Amino acid sequence: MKRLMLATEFKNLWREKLVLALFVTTTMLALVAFFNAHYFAKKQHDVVLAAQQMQQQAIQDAKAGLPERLASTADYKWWEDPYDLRGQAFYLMQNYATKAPLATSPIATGQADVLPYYFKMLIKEKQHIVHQYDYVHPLSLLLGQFDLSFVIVYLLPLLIIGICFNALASERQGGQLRLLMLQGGSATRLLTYQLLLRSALLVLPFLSISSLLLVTIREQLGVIELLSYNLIALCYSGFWIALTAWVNSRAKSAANNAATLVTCWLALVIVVPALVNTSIALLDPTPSRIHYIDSLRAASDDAQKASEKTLAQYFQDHPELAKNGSGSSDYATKKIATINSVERAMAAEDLRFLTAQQAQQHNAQKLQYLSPALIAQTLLVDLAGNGLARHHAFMEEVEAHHQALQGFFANEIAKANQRGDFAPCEGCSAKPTLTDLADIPQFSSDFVTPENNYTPLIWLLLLAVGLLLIAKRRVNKIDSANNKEVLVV
Amino acid sequence: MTTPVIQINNLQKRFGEYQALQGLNLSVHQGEILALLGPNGAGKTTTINCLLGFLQPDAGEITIAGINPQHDVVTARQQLAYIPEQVALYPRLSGLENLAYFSKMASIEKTDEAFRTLLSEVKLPSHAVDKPVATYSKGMRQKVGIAIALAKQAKALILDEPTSGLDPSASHEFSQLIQSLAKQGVAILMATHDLYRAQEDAHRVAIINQGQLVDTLVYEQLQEVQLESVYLKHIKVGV
Repeated sequence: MKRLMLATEFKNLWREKLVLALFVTTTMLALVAFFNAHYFAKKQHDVVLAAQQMQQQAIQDAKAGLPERLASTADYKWWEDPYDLRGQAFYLMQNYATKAPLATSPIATGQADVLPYYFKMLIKEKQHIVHQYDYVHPLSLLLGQFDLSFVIVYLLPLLIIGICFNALASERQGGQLRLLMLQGGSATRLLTYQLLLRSALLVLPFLSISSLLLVTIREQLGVIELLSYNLIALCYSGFWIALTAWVNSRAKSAANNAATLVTCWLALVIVVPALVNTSIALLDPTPSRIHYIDSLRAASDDAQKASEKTLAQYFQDHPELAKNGSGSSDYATKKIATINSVERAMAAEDLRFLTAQQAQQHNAQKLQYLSPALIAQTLLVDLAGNGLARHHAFMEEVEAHHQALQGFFANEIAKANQRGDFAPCEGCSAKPTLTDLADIPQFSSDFVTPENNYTPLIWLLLLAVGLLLIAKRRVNKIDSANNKEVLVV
Repeated sequence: MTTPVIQINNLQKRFGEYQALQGLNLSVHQGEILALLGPNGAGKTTTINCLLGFLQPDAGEITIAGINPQHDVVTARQQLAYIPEQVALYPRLSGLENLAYFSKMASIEKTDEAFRTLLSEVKLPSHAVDKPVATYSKGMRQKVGIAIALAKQAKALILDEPTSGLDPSASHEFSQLIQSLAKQGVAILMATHDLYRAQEDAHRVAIINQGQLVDTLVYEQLQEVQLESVYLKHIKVGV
């Protein structure tokens, strides 16, 4: 009976030209969404690669030009000299911190198009790096590009609604259900097979094509990532199929089902996420950015005005860097001391931002349970490596790299000062103080990305199972000996 | 007298304040055609829905070939076939495919040839057999409905306004088909407003009004009386 019902349902859909239409639609969606996001990821990848090449090229060029520089007696300006620690530290350094897109990146661009994915590192206050971007809260801007996650989260539910809203209702209104039941069929089986077949015709081609594209074009994609992608998409689609089953089980007209399902889509995919975003912003607002910039300028001005005091404080904190027997210091040391002072002065402001960010992230994790769309989108974006968890890990690594660079240059400049390399004699040019650029700390792009948390998927599954159980109970009533629902035509 | 295939005893059904059936008693025997007459709202469709197991009576008892649909709706439904005013088929499937589908749902396994023969027996034009039902006339759909009933070899056939909207020729053809089914031993209950068809085809006519049986006319009486007069007298419209 199962095969008979499925075959008849397929025949009906085929003759409605729905099977072909679905295949064409899902194929087009998968192709356009994949390549749109793939080319975006490729662009990012090219930029990251170019940055790394520039960094390596600078090291090679410096190596090649070193003999000429050592032999030269010309007067070099330190800010133009690639072999001068100070020039490298404040102006010339080709040192990049990069976050390369993962192989899964075309799944969901997320906020990758607004969050920075590379930094050109110089010895400046870290606030110039880590606060050069801003975002309102963790769940905003999730909509993003037309990528696979956009299709899964926004369009697949609509397509599921579009082809499943009249399952059972069509037979009920057309009278075939009565005849079917008199012939020994059941409403439960009919609804089950209709929903299974229709959603399979929609979801499976899309997932097959997108998975094939991911595997063939994004060559480094792992099996676990591929399975996770399919699992998230199937669970989310499962929720919508269960919701459709629940709505159809109420034995209302097809038009009523369609209206109810579209309302559910609007509520769960558009309205609730918007409300969640607003709530997150209201509950834990980020501090004023204008106030932050004012504070940064004030801290910078104060540090420069009291440069001698700043320097004294710096040497008090770092006595090992003090020049032996000299009370004065060079521009570079003063600059580094000023940077240190500004960073210290801004620590409280930074903490306020960090606290607000963490509170928002915490709320976002809790409130995502209100909308299956938020759960699916967050999981897909995290899987794609374009989520905030990976970005925060990247930013922490950037800060650590910034500290490493600052420490390296502070030490080397102090040592060069102690040796007198910057002013070997009255009127002489500075000696080369950085003969191998490879000595400069390099950013490790192998930073640890936090494990994706798939717990919300369990919630999604529980919701789907709950809806299916209610639907089953209701449709069983239609199958019982007393069912006015079948009579309503 | 044989045991009735369809037996209705003291059937009662209420919808809120409205008493649709008030102790209805009816029986249809093997090979008999019983025409159920009555004005709109008399309780004909409610009776049919109780017989089909789609409504639970408040009181009374129904048996179809000895099986009470209140107790075993699946087995009771296996004993009967039903042809409504509008036979509900899948419009995109052909007559043959509809017949095969609904028959196989009832676990009736036949070859395509056997199904074609059935459609030919009910006089469905051969050129229409493989065409989508959406292109069929009402009479042609009725024929597919009868073919489904034939394939099922049901002991009872319930018809709800079967000739409504059919042209005289199609109505005549339909009448011949149900006569033939009756001759094969099927008990037929036909709810209708078509007094002419009832007088022509039925072995007995039962007139119900306000949920009660008000008169029964057997075949011999039907030959002698003017059914319309009797009917109008019973529903108190006056002649």
